[in-house]
Amino acid sequence: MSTNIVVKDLDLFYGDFQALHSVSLDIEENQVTALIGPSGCGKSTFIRTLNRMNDLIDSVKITGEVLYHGEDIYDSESDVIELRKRVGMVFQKPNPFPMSVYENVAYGPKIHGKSNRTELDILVEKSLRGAALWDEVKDRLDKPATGLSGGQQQRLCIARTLAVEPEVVLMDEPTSALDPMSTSKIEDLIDQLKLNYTIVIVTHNMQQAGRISDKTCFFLNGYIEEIGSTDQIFFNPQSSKTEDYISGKFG
Amino acid sequence: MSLRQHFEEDIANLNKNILKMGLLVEEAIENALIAFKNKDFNLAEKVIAQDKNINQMENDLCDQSVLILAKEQPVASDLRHILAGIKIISQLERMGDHAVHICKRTINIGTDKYIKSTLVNFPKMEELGRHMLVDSLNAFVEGDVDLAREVSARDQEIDDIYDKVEYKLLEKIQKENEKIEQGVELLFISRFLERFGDHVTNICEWVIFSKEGTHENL
Repeated sequence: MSTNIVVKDLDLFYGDFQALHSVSLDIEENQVTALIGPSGCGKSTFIRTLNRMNDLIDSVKITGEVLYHGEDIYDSESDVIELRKRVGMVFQKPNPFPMSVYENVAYGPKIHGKSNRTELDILVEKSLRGAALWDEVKDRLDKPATGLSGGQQQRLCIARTLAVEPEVVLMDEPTSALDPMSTSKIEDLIDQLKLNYTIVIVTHNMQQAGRISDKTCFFLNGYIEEIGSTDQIFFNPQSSKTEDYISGKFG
Repeated sequence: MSLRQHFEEDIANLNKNILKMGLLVEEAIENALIAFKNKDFNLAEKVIAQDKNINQMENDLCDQSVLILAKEQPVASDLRHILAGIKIISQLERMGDHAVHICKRTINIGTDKYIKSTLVNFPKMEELGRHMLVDSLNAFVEGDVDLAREVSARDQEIDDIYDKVEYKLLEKIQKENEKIEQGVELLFISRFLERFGDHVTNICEWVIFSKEGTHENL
């Protein structure tokens, strides 16, 4: 097993407020890493540091290192566009573009310079199949994406992420707005995706973290309280705070 | 309503019922030995008949535990506690069976006068085992691993008496060549009493699993 992303002593400040305190974490290839913790603990802030989404916020200051294949992504030489292509992101609420299903998926590749229709057709089908959506939308590729159900829209967003052929997929509570059936489909999908991608997922759903992840990282007040295999965290956590949180004693 | 109040109530209720089941087993083994000592065959029959209540409790508590698992989806020590509870109730059910077996052997022996040594040693084994049972269940409910370890250590005393009784019974059967049938029945009874203590030790091991998440061979 090799490491895809290595985070070392990461501090993050919003102005004077320190949201992350010396966070260090190895993210392994082809594994699902779940980030759990109560609201405001820093897990969403942390996941956004992995593809520099926090750059969009002016007051953010970051120290420490995030090494992606050994290169510090916060190095001034680092290519953010390329980084976000390699490290894609799926958000809490499905956010399809107001375009057709096809165009939603083709959008990323087009921006990155692909214009050959045949190539795009192949890529769109491959991405939609990868997101377990192809069979449901293959006859309505030219219809507006906003007409899909919530669960389908979220899988479309996953397809859109896959279309630019990333290595890592970051997911920030990807099922919190979905019904149980759609949630189950996304969870099955994550199980499939990890064969080809590295997944990092923020979730508030303890059972979901238990079901789908290989490694679980518990954040508390901007610190990593405990990291371990998901089996260990859910069976015999070492920290009493972890135990209390996953058992629902606070949260 | 505070966080987890419903879950805490479920667990308290489950613990209470496990203690109740333990009480039935405690009564069963105590009465089995009273029936043995006094050759009270009516009491022996009663213990045999009442075993169905213990068996029923095993099923009920298993269902109760499964419902908590399904509805509350506990993790970590909460999950281990319920799993340990499920394992403990099956130990209790087996212990109830031992009380039944003792009663059946007592009836088999009938009015034939007992080989002397057993009248002292069997009640002693029973008393030790019964107290161990009560303490082990308290250890489970209180999550007291020190008590669990201390209780399981007491099993050695039962084993020592068992070895002594077994030797004496075999000696009696072999050398004096008398009361062979009764001797065999008594050997079985001593074995059931010895096994009773082993089941308590198993309960203690599950107490440690519940609290510490490790399997300790006591």
